[in-house]
Amino acid sequence: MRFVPGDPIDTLYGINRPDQATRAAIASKLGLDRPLWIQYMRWIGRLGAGDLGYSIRAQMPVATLIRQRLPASLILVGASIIVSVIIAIPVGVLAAAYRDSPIDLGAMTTALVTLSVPPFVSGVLLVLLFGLALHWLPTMGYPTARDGVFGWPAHLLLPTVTLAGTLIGIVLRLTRSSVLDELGQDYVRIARAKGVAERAVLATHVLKNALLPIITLVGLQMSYLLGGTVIVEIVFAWPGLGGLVVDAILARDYPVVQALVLLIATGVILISLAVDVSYSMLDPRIRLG
Amino acid sequence: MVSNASSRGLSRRALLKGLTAAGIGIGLSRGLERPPVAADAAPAPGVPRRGGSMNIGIEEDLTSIDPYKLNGNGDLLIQGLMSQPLVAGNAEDKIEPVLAETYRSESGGKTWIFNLRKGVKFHNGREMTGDDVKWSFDRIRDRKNGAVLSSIFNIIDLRTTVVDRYTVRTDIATGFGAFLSNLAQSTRAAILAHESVDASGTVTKPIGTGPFQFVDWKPGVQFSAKRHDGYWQTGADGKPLPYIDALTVKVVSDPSARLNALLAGGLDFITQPPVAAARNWIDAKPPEGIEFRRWFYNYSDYLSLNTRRPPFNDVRVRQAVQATIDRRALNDAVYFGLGQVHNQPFKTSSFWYENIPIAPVDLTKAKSLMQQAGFGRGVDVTLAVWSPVNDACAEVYQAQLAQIGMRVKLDKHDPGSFFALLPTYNWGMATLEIGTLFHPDRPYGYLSKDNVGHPYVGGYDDPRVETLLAQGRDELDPARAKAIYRQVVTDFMAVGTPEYHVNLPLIDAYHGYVQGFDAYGRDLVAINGQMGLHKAWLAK
Repeated sequence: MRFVPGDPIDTLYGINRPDQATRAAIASKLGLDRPLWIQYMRWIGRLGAGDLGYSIRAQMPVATLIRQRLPASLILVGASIIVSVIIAIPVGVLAAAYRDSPIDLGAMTTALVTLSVPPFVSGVLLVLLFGLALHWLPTMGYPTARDGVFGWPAHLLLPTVTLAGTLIGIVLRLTRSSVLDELGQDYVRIARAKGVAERAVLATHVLKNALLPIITLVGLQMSYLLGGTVIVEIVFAWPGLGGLVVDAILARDYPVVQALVLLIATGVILISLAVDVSYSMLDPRIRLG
Repeated sequence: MVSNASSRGLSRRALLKGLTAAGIGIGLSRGLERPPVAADAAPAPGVPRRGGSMNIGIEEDLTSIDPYKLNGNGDLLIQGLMSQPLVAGNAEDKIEPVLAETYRSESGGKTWIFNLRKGVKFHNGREMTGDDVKWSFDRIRDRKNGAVLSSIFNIIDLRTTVVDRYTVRTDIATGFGAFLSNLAQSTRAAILAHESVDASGTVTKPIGTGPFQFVDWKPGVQFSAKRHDGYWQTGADGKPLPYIDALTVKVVSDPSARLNALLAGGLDFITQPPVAAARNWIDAKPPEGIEFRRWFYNYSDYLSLNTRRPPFNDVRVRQAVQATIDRRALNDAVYFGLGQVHNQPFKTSSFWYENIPIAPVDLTKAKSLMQQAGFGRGVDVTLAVWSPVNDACAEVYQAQLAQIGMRVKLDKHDPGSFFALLPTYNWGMATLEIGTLFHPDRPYGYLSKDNVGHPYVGGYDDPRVETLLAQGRDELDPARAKAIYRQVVTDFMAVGTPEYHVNLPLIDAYHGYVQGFDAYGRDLVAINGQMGLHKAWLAK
């Protein structure tokens, strides 16, 4: 980041570049004139005290900026994951169970379409239909107290569906593939030979084993989405972390970028840990440690 | 206004890029002359109604909560709601009083006396006095606070003295004809209450004298303000303005998303809808219940040619560019004909605008000049582009200059790397924007080696022009200053740098129930940037 051309003073002033003396005074006040390693050590020192630093652009604590945006990101990512999982896993299981049937064909076509249509296209189409043509849903923004209790699902629905769209395609295809793998295993043949109902074969035996790679994928997607929803955030003016990351990079707001990298990395680690723990819960053969 | 950091990558210009090709076809098929549009007219008067809150969608956020760091369109609107300067420029860019009731200069312009408007209250209820003016100007001058005008205030050695409670004297080192125009740069020299800053001198909550007061700011998301009950201007009913109780300004960087939100009712008022939509509304009609207004500020695109290195160190090559760029085609392609074609950084109705004919497009002449300069077989040049803000313009330049053998490679940069690149002069051409102008010293000061606190862009170095610029800067009489700048403009045009092409259209769209606000030009305070929202009211 520090080696990218331009610094916070360049972005703050643009064409109104301050003269050398003013620039030096600003850099001194912001601590930007210190050697890089000293700036880093100071940041580490403050981090140890729970201080994420001070935004150069916003002139407020980085923790405040993150606090303003994190809930919106968590809600959007969480809702999208839940919606995609609720739709994709049952449909994927059905597609595998009824392989090469119209159900399978319909499921795979849906997956192909949702994977092929980028979020900024699907989002805009949803806005045009549900927001402008039908006037059923708001087209942008994070719900506030003014929107009432029904404001939440109303505001959340379109961005969630947009984001979940791509996820559905990914999870659905993997679920189908994973279930098909399991359906070819010996234990399934034995279960069927013993007269176990097909529904029980799928739900009790196959799905549990097929879930392991699906959970891994969902975990990876969650990690990606923590900071990767910027397109959806732009289309719906949703105040998430993705936009904060992009704004901070473009503004060369080093403290914010550093804090966000740390936050997202921590999030990825925690999600990976949760995925690992879930393995042992799903498959008794897997023991942690 | 220099637009800073349209940071999400999908600003109005980026979307226009996809429409440029279609726009060229549409524009050329409709002819090149654009008549005035009905949207330029002032709104019909109604009976103002008090109360309500308004949701506004803008394309970019504040650069900083500190009004002295004003640098973008978001700053212009939001900061202009809260704080005000001593003087402002009117519709013709002449300076008129705002917080200063009267003012005069003495000692050949080295001393300025400001008599303050009495009874003006800050948002915290305290009356504005001379002490506040001194505190504000001293704060601007203190380099560590990073005010945009800090360089200028130090160069002219501005010293402020409180004569009495309502009288302030400023002394500067030399007569500076552009002094008042610098004070008029929206909130860059606004009068703030000292309670606005914390112990380190950082503005945490701007407390000004504007019609609206700060409530909350979520950077990149939204800004909230409520009415200032003690505001000094009164409305038609004799009570203090503004009429509406609260404003929420939401950052919606994508112009289509902004427009959709307006049409769906999520926003009451937006700035800068897609220009293509505005064009459609002019040619057909806007959606039911939606109105829009086009207005002009001094806000120009321009092309800077690096005169420090080949090929633009050769005046013939610069003149060739001048004879090639088709401003009207640029206006049609990028702004759908809604911009104002010009050759100076002022709108055509400005006092400072000189009636100097725009150089006609003459490709034969251009090619001949290139031949004489030794580039008859063409030349490779780079065009540093402030992306995505100027992507569309850059592509038009690239296409037009290809006609004379100039093979333009677009070198796109985000704002940070773009503004770090400029002072290195490691570029051939650069696309830029300039605004917040009430005096020619500022735009032409950019081109001056011996500039007064302005960045030096383009590298042009001519002692004769430097002398003229210095004379114009120091001249107190506007008419005499204008004559000097006419010569400057003529000289710059003769040597082909820089190239001002289009005054950018500023378009606002709003629901019909939003009434009374007065876009730039018809109300002095409106030019502070906040578009006369102090007079807006909601007829619903």
